[in-house]
Amino acid sequence: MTSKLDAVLHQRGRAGVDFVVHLARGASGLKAAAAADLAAAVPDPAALPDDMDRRHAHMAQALGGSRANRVSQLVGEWHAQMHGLLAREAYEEIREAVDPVLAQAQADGPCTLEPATGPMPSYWQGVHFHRTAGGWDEHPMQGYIHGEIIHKRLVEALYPGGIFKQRREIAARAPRDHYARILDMGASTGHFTHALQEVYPDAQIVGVDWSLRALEHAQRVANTHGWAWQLYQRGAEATGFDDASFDLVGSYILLHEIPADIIRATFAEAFRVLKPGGDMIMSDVTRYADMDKLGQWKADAGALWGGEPFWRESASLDLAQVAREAGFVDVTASGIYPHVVQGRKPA
Amino acid sequence: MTILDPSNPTAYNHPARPTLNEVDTGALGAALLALTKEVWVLTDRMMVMEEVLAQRGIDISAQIDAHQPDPDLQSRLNARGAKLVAGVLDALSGVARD
Ligand SMILES: C[S@@+](CC[C@H](N)C(=O)[O-])C[C@H]1O[C@@H](n2cnc3c(N)ncnc32)[C@H](O)[C@@H]1O
Repeated sequence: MTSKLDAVLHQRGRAGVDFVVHLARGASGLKAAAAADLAAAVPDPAALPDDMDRRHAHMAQALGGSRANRVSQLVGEWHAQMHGLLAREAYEEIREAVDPVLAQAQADGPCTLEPATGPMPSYWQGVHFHRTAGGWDEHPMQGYIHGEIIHKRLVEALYPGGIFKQRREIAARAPRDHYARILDMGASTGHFTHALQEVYPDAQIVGVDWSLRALEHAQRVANTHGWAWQLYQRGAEATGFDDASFDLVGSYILLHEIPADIIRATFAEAFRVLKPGGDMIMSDVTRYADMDKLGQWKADAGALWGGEPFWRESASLDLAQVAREAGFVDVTASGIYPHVVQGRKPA
Repeated sequence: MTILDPSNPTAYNHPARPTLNEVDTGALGAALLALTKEVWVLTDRMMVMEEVLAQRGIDISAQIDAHQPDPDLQSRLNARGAKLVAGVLDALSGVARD
């Protein structure tokens, strides 16, 4: 399906962004060599140190002699530093054509957006999540760059299958066929919000996120479809909405970006704003408990070098337990990626 | 390192000047990848140009900028791009090429 928001890139920008894909695919021989060195260096993952920091030190030592692993680090580091900047360059090349379309898409339509009045929290402000240069909000068109260029061109090419397919499947797992009011926590540029709206076409959807730039793009997406989303630049842990005002509260890949105490507060907030009998569905990254020590180290290294300061504490949480502590009943947690936790507020 | 001394003026011809050393290696690798990307952009552009010329366009440059590769060209671009990258990475890491 094409949309007027689709990024139609010029050659230079397009080839620059595509290069990031070529870099990943062209590194397959290198990755195989690095994996062989890794397997030789760690014959027994269970014997790795329990403490994660010590495990990193141990692995650095064990892999120190592997040139393939060093080059692999170089490729990873270059990707981390450059993917956002190349996508930004691609946008700069087409901005003259695209800016008026974006301005109009934001202004014309039923979707509303309320910016925050207070300061952003210290766990979010100034943090360059995903190593995105300047963080989520530095560039005025970061929402478009991230939503349309990075996600639709890069993520889609590297993880084919459609960014909406998995989101739609998860959205459809909520137990009822109809929800009147849905809250999407960490709505960002509106990808899960979009899936929720498709699965529950009659629902009134409200979205919160700290990133104004991302929400601005969600607003364009909603307006383009004629969806009356209500978007707020607010934290999921303190939304300011009335008690018992939603039928479904969901989030998709939000939790690993926030510290453990804020995750607990977010589940408590979901519980508070749900009507009695209302449903909760949150999806996030693979739990450390579901991996062996080597898998955990790989995930943790990815987080360490990939601009994810809270991944470790978040992925170490037992989300079913957190949901029960917040008051949810009939709690289930399943799946490797995404890991999905569901529950209900007692009627 | 030869110490330069005016009493041996020809030593100035080819001085053993220290340049990069081990601590520069990371930056060197990053520069290499940046260069690879630039080479790639040009390779891509030339392939697109051949394609556009084959279609007998008039304003080639604007057409190239605006050209959106069809699935066939995109897959040829992808194959070439991955090959270019593999050549550089395999040399850098010492992985034998087949
Ligand atoms: C990985 S994105 C979410 C992706 C999105 N739900 C989707 O389907 O693609 C995480 C988002 O969470 C936002 N965020 C981080 N902390 C938050 C919080 N406490 N409350 C609301 N949003 C938050 C970030 O600004 C970012 O846009």
